[in-house]
Amino acid sequence: MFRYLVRRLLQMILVFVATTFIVYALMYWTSVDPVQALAGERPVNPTQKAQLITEYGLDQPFIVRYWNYLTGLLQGNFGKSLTGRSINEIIAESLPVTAQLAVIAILTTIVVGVTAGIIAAIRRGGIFDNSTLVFTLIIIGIPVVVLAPVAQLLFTIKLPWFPTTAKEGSLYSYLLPGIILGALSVATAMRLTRASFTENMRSDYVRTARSKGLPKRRIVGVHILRNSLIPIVTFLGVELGALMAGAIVTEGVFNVNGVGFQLSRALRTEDAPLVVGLVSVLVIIFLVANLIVDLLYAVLDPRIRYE
Amino acid sequence: MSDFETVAASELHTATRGPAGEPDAPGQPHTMESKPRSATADAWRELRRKPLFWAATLVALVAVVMAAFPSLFTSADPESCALSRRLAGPSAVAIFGYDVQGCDVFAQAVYGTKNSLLIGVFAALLAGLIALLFGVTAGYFGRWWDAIVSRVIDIVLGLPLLLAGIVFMQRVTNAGGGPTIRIIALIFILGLLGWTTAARVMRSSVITAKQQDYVQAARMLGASPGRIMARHILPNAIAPFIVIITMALGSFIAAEATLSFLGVGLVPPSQSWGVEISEARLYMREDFVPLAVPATFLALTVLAFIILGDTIREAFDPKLR
Repeated sequence: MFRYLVRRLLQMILVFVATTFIVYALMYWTSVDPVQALAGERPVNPTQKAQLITEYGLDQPFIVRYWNYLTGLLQGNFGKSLTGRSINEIIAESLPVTAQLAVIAILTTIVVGVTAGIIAAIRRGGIFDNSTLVFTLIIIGIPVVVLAPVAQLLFTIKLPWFPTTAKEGSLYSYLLPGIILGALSVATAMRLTRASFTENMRSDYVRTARSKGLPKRRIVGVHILRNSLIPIVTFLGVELGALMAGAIVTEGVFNVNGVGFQLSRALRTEDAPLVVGLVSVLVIIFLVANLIVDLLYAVLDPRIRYE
Repeated sequence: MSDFETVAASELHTATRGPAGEPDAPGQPHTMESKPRSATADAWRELRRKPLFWAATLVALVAVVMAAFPSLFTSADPESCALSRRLAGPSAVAIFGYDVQGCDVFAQAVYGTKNSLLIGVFAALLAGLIALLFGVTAGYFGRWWDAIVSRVIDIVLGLPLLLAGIVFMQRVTNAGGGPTIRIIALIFILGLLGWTTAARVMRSSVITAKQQDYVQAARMLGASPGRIMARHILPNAIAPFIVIITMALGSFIAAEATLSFLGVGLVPPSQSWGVEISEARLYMREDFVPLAVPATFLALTVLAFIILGDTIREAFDPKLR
């Protein structure tokens, strides 16, 4: 277990350093002068410019700057955005918002997707099964750029059930963007649950449990469910990364002030430190989620041992 | 994308095979037991009787023809716009009416097919090529090369496609890339970021195939690694690869639309579904048809490729029969 953990952590560090390096290099390998980008169209005073250049360390070689950034990160310091605000502050403000969206999305996925998958697997070949299969196929095919505006049009304008744009702190207004964010993974989760449930329903231990006379609820809820959870948990962990990226579109459409919203604004205003900071946070979340998923395997299935 | 193992329509359609089912048409010799069929022929028999497969093929073909010869579908010029026709309703000339700039909505969507499909197809080819190269060699040679390839895959997977796409495309915008450069950049970005799943699948199927007796036999007969990989391993490991690349094609088209929607992919005056959706969204309160038309085109095309991949996978999977 310990050796496995160390190996996984080393792997994570490699991935983290490489991905942030790529993003860092991309953001600073650019024809646009960051100081000029900050000033917009106005001419920049040379003294001010020199001061800003030293302040942001733009006179140092690239590798040194990247090293400084990495060491700052290890101390939990994301640096300062070009507007002078602390990036930690921006993240502290926008991450909880995106986290709320992500929680709604994941809950939607689990409640709707997994439940529907289980029902479909138990009643294989029935009307419910066939109609959900067709329905999920359609959902998988519709990209979020179509789903988000169309849902906004349908459920906030044609049928005014939800507010068109999200209000700060109002959980109800986050409901629709959250559900849309989750809708894409609902379909996949449903199919995955159905496939793994069907496979386990045919297994020997289920037959044994049934012949022992256990009630059906216990067979389904304890025996099959626990054994079918592994692919679903894996999917949810990987999906968290896609969720964060999908949040860029959903947050933009519904005007939610989350990480995705900040990220697209930072990209538009050429705020390189902020972009790198936000991407780093997203990559860290993605990596940690995947690590947790791997460790959960042993909890779900005691037969899995890490060496 | 690759993970959803579906048991979808195969059971759905086997039941519908009545006495009129066509596999043993009169006049055709009954070859079922006389000759052992290959896996591909088996899969083809399975595929042939699925209406879903034919529907998806039809939509995909229409999209390809539309991309190549848009003038077959509409005689209107997508770039002839007149503000006097602003948001005018459907007419005999323009079946879906005009958008806020007075451009023909249907003609715009038809002409948008070319860029969307071009980027999707070439990105999928590029991703497939990289995946094939790295996946097969990593699986076959193993050792340090496998370790390096696996770590590179980890790193690329650590960058979500959309996130990295936005950052890359913002660079292209800064460099002042024109319409053609943007298309090429999109192809390369999507291809370079989207090959990982296919490479993993390829790698594991090569590792399985490598242990087979016929590969050992070929090696003992003195076949070179290149020949073994191309003639013996690849044909037996290619089916899941084709499935993933078909599905990736659909998701690349969606990714292009998303990037264009966010304003970093293609930009007007380039035509693509993403550009049209993002423009039409701004005034959807007034008129939603200009949003609905490109959205339908996009959803149908992406759906067609995903269903195509899905049905091919089912046909190749004997466990689902």
